[in-house]
Amino acid sequence: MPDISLRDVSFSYPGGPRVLDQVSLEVEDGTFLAVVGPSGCGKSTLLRLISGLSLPEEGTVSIGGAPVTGPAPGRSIVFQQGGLFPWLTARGNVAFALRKAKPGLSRAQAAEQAEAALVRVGLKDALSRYPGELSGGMAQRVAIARALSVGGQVLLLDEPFGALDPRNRQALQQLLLELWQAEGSTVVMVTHDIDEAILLSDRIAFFRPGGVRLILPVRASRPRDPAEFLTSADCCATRKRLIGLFYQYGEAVGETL
Amino acid sequence: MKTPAEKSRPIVLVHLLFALLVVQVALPGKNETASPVLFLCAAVLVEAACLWHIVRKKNARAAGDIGAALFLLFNIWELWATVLGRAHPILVPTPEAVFQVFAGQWPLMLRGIGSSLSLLAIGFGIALPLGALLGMLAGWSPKLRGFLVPIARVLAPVPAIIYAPYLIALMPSFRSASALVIILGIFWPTFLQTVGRTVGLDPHILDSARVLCLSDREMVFQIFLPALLPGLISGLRVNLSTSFMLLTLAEMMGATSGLGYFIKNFADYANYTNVIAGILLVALVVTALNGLVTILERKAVRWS
Repeated sequence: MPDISLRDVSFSYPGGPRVLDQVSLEVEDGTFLAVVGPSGCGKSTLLRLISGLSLPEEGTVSIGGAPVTGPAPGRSIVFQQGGLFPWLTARGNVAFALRKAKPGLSRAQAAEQAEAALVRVGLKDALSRYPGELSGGMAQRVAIARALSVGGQVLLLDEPFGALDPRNRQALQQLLLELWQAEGSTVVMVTHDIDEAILLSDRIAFFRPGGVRLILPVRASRPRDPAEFLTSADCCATRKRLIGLFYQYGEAVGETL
Repeated sequence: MKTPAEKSRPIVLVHLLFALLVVQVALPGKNETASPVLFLCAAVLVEAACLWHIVRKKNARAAGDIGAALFLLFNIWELWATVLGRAHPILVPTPEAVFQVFAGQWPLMLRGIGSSLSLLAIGFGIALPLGALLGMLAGWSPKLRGFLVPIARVLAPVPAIIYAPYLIALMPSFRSASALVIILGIFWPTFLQTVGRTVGLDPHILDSARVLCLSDREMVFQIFLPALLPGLISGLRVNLSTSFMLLTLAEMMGATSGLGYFIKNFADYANYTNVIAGILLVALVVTALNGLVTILERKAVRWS
């Protein structure tokens, strides 16, 4: 029952202002929440709190009713950038995480599964390359492959597709949806791309400085065909609403406009 | 800009100077006291090394220039000391005599190398893992860092050789005293460098590791150690010269064998022929050790 629940959560980094102020948020089991909003309003912090990498100053974060006190198995996270171990190859990075998540796996099995995961994100030719030898987009795909292959009940993604070219981005969005539906995990994804948020998620949380401004449901049925869905009236209305909010809270909307 | 002609200009100077040296050695000199065999062998080795670089076209120009500079020095030395016999007979021995020392003194030299290197190995074997491990832990735990780093800041800048006269008196043997000097000389810098590198590790890497719920042991050996290895190995190079300096200095104070002892002992008898040979020997050993570190660097940290 990995319902994610935040109650009156406040957080600030040492010496900084409050990033989150009395935030409450519920994410139902098996749903896909997209988080959008201007930079610096606590979206990444939200993911750190859910993953247990940071703990709230006030309030509680709980998953399936149990309070989060630190990182735990069953939760994977993809950072905006970095996070690969530079001393391991692409295959080694994925296999290392796999063996930690599934202790029963032998070395050979882990390597095999890691290779399969990397092939799925289109990195067949980069299996034995070190992160320092990969482009930003390729390294990001390794990180995504690592998180997706480990799986788990809760998948946290911090602008995972930001560094990718449009073709790879679309392919990985589809891959993410497939895995999410197959595993029934709960996904929280931070993104700057409004269309991406609308296309992928069940609900969109708009963050303003200090916390959640509002939550918009995306009601369209799945599977959603990108070309058709993104021009539908429903989608246009949601997009208009979000763009209005971005202007209201003082930031240009970025690459989707 | 270099013209193509200049670029392909053959490297001849080094060969000319080599030939000149051979001629000088072959000519009857005023001060021919020692056999020239080993001196000629050394010259041939240098020439062979230059040729090797030139044939493989790897750093050929630099190898040629260095070889030429070396042969120029040999030529002047040979001319002044052997052919003309004008040099001070005790302070500036002939090159033939200096190189011939290797033939006569090799058992003592070998024993010196063995004694010095084993001391070095003991010092490194203790100081490096200890400094690295404590540095990692202090880099990780702010509490330990707050305690150890101020102490290190006071002790690290004290030149370790300062302790030598006292430690030689205090410790049961000279070897244990000089091992301790080396340990003190390497431990604190290694510790401080490792603390700095641990604190400076990419936070995303640590977050990724924490998300995987690694145990403390796994954190140290599977994350910190590989992440810090390149820094440790490049630190090895600096520490190597420091510790060699400490070692030879300490040996000059009270050892009965070793490379520093070899030089000091013969200097006491004003046998500068052997002293110069000893200096050459130290240069050779240090170069060989540096080469080893380079190989280690290439093997151990292919990723960085």
